Amino acid sequence: MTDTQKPLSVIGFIVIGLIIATIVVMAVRPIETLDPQTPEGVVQQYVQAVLDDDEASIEILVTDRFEAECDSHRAYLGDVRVSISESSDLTNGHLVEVEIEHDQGLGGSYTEISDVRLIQVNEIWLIDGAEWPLGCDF
Amino acid sequence: MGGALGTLILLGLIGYGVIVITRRVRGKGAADGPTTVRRLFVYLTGYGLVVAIASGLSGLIEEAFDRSVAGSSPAFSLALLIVSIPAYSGLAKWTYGLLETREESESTGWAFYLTATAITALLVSLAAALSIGDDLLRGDGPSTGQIAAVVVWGTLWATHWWLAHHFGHAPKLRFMRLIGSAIGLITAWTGIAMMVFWVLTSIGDTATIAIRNSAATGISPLLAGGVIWAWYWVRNELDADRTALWEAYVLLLGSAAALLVMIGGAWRALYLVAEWFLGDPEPTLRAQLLEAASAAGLLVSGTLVWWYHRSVHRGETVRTNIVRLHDYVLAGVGMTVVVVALAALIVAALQAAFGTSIAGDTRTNILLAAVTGLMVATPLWWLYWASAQRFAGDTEEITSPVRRGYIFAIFGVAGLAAIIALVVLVFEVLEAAFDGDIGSETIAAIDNPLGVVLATSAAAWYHWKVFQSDRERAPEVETPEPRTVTVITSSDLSGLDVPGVTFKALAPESEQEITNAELLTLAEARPHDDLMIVGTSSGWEAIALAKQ
Repeated sequence: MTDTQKPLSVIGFIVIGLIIATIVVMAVRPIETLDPQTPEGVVQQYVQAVLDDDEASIEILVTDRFEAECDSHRAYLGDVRVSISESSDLTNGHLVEVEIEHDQGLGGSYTEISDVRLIQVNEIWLIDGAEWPLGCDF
Repeated sequence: MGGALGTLILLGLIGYGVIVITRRVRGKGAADGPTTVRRLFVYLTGYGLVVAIASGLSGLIEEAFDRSVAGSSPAFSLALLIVSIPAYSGLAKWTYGLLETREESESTGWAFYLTATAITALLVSLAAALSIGDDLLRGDGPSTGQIAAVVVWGTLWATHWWLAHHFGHAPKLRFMRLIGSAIGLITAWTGIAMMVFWVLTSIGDTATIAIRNSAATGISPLLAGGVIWAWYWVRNELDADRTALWEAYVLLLGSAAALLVMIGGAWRALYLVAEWFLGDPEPTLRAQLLEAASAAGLLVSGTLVWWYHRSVHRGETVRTNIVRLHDYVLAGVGMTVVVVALAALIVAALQAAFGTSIAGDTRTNILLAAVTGLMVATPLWWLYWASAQRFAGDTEEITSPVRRGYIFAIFGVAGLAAIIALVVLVFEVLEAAFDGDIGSETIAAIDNPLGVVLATSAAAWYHWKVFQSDRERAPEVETPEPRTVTVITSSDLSGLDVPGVTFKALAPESEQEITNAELLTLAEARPHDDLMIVGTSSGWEAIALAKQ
């Protein structure tokens, strides 16, 4: 092995290790499916529908008022990682605080908070309002 | 509109580059004026036509297979092809005939055409390949347009690589290979940084309820960039002759830029730790860790790239100007950070001494940035400045334009900053004096300019002393009196370059040939005379001529 090949082999091993680590993390990283009967579960379904651009599912998950007044189709998410940072009861519903981490490429990101308000209609939790980028101000 | 403007700017820059290069070449007498203008026109037109053909072809394929493109029409792509293909064919046929002459195949114009076309094709197919990779990772199908772009531009690249290999002048194509190496390296490097970030932020992440950033794993840029780098660098450049251009790639991009990325990552990581314990951190530990993961990506990728290129360059003992540039750039960056950090610390010390508050979250974070900046920048500056100072006893070092440029740059910029800050400081003091209101508020108003004045003055003073010391040690430069050495020979003397001496070869039909070594020995033996060198039966003889 020549002097120029030795460092190349080391770099090769490190890069292969990094690729394996990435694949392993991709394979084992779980995303827990929340109970769809809970406000948090409804928010998870809604966010996934927005990511999938699934308008039919979005319409099922929101109230008629939200659909009519806020035009839920405006919701848009690019490359993001979404998590729930807080969940609390309101006098007339439930508030879920969603943390959206936007990927800016090159390892850069920025985070914004979007509050999602839910109400119960016929004992089913529906989204009645959501801040941008998940919906509109309420 | 933006794309058209970008294309125009690109073409303008390329045209300017060609003009500069051809002027330089013409200055060396390689080609006459009309030939240079002809090459400029032919190869620039050839580049424009081949780019138009590739754009038209990929556009046509996309429009033929992807009916979802709203309002798409093949008219523009067809127009590009109908006009460009015959024009390019004619031009190529004519140029092919010209390339049979050595002068043409070794011309800068031909090398420019091959380089510009291959690199443009490489960049377009790389962008399309990255897009396809991201689509696949997201689970989406790749678009027809991106597949067409990879196929068409990839073929264009392969064709021009083959042309360069078979019809190009290898020394003039080193630039193309090193630019390709740089594109591959930077892409793969970005991929490594993204992968480290992605793995660190994904481990232990239980809060995520949905994700759409699989593309951010960095796998696409690492693989695409890695393939390009392996082809250009590992296969074609790694073991090639170590020219100044090769050394510039290894030392300035592979070593200096990587070290700066590494140091930037280390600084950021140190700062985030200090901020978490002492300053005003992000609201949650997870948010702070996300920032730290980004810093770790820079640190790890920068370290890998830096270590590799230092290993490749290890063993080179000649201190060229590229090596000097590497050392002084790193010392300069370190010095700049040290001066800024010192200014911030002096301001904080003044505020503490005179009782003006340094409370406040932002102020604390600035202080932490200054302290952590000093912690990483001081060793960086010292390492490379001390390395340069070890050679300060050598005349070549202290008279080198790189060292002089560095010293003047630091002295000039620091001096200018000190003067501007001093003007602000004096203004604040005079204004307070005229108002009859000199007190703690005046101190608060002058703390920032005073900090800048003290830190930058110290840097300017130190580099002025270094300059004086260099000047005292530098030997007097004796400018040789111009003289002419005329040789009766058919040898080509154009490659000889001795300051103050003009070499002339007479009698090109003569059969007597002189080597450069023989000629230089004779010329140096009579260093002040105009000489006539003739071949005799006993060898070459130098005859001194009377000065005119």
